[in-house]
Amino acid sequence: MEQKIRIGHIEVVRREQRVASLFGMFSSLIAIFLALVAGGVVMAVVDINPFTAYGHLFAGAFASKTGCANTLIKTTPLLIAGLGLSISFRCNLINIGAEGQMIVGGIAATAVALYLPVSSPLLMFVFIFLAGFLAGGFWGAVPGILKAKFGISEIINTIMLNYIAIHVLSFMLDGPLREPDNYYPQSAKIAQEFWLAKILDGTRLHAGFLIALVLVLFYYLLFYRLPQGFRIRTVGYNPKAARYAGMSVSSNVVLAMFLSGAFAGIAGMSEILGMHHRLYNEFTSGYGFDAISIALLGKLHPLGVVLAALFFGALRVGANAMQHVVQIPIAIVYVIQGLAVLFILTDTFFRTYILTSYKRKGLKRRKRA
Amino acid sequence: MSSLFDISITGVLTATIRMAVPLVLASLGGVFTARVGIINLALEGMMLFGAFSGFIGAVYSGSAIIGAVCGMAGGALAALILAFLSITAKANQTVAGVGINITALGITSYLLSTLFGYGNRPYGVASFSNIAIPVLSDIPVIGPVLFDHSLLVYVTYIAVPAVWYLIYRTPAGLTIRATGENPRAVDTLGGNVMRTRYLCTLASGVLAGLAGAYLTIGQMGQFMENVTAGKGYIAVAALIFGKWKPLGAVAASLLFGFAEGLQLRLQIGESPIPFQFLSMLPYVMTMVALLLFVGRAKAPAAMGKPYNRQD
Repeated sequence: MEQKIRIGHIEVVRREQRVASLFGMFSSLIAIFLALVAGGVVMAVVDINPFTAYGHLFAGAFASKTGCANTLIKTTPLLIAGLGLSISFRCNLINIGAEGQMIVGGIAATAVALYLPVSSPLLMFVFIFLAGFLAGGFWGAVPGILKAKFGISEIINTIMLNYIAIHVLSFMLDGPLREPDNYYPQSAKIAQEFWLAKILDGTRLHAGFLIALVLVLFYYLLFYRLPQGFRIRTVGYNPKAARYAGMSVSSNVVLAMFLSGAFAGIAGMSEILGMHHRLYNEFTSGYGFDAISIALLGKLHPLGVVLAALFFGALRVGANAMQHVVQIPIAIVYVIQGLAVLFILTDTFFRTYILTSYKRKGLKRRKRA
Repeated sequence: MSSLFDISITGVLTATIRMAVPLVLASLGGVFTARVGIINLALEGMMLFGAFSGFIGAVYSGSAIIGAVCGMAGGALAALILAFLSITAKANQTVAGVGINITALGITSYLLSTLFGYGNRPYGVASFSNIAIPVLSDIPVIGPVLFDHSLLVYVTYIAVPAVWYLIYRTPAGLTIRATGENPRAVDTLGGNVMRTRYLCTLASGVLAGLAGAYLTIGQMGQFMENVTAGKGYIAVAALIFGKWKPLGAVAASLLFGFAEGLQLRLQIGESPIPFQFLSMLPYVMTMVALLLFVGRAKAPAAMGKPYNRQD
């Protein structure tokens, strides 16, 4: 299938690369498999049967309606933030700041939900959504601007902004947003009519999941059907060529970082309005950091990111169950996650290694003949 | 506002040294990788590994020195992963760093829980105590600020000129710098790009591991989950801010150490500023410093590019 895209005065023919992306996903699966094996070894070292442990993990995540719902609940912020990071990664910007962007998104959404004098739930939802979107976007755009205008590493700045966001949150809960007379540093509870609706009876699954699915569609359209996504990708792949083709490198960098942060901001908003209904410290529970691995394992492909987020969501839910039954520390999840990222980095190496050794064998055979 | 001025200069400067030492060691480690053209975001993970293995070494041997050696070994182990991924597998070095950091966080927290459970985590294990250097420590202000610290701090004092000398005044240093600028030339002249890169990455792991060990057995003798809390990333910022040069990195580390020391001291003295803003100080300063000073800096030319002999 071919598709023609016009950008400025240049026409580009885009061909589907089904095979290549399938192979990419396949290597992700291998990486996850290897990470699970390595995680099993780590368990076996401390005398825990990995098969039993993984059995409990799988059962905890998928065997019941509640388990499935919980998995989707955890998948929601991971998916939204993971898609966001994929936008910046496609522009070759290493955004580590989803955690901070989620936090400020959550703060802004809470502030609007608690203090904006609007009574219509629909109108209120629009404002809350915009608050999360813009606050997260702003937190992402700042390092984007610093990168575009001054060439300062977005990696360092996004990391620094994570820590700054954590302290801003703590300050907000000590002062401006703290519920008066509350012993704990947390905000007041948001009025129920503004919560994201529950979408599955008897569970806590909320409409944030539907928002996530809409964003998957948005991401797909942006990068696979619209010229703007093509511009972002081109700037990431080859800034010089992009400039030559008449694209503005700096505005695309800022836009990619803004959208990336805005997605994370929506994830923060969805966590507050769908799950917690009030703001407290560490409400993001590290989703923003997990999202990095999710974007990488999903190979920045919409379907891949969905699957990776689902896997990580299941891992979190299942690990809880696993911890209860076989007393295995929940940190094992980070071991598996980190190793999966490391394994996936070796895929090109092993692919070329296998190919070259295969070619060598072929040559020898031909010589003999 | 008077409380702001009550804080003694000696106290702030002593805290500056204490907070700067891990940053100095880690960013010196970063100098080695940067100079051979490797992006080292894994400093955070190397420090965390070093902090944990140093702690474990001290717990089981009862000796802080053995702990420090274990810390360096732990850092080197993490460095080996980075070296394999970025030099041999020619993978994306930034992502490799992130992966190592996540893995380090997972493995150290996991082992901490499995080894000691939740209730009886050891604290107050063998750690370095302060040694006041005779005569020198009696000098007013400078004495207590510089010469009344633990052994690791004095090791850092020696490491700074040693690294500078190695990189700028020895043939090996020339090879190191050339590898980061033009690996092809090094290869053509009979140098070994792969070996130089591997050795320098290991050196960075050793230094970062020691920096991590300083956090656990340098003073308190205690390991907490994620004890590095972003110090490795601040070391990366110090490295960039210091323009990938040993002395520049040290100066930047001292500046960040000063911000840390100042906010710690201000939190003790009752300051009118909410403590969260003080805690933000080092991070905000990192951003401002990068904005003000980095614009014209140039990284080593081969930074982040894997070397392939067949190209």
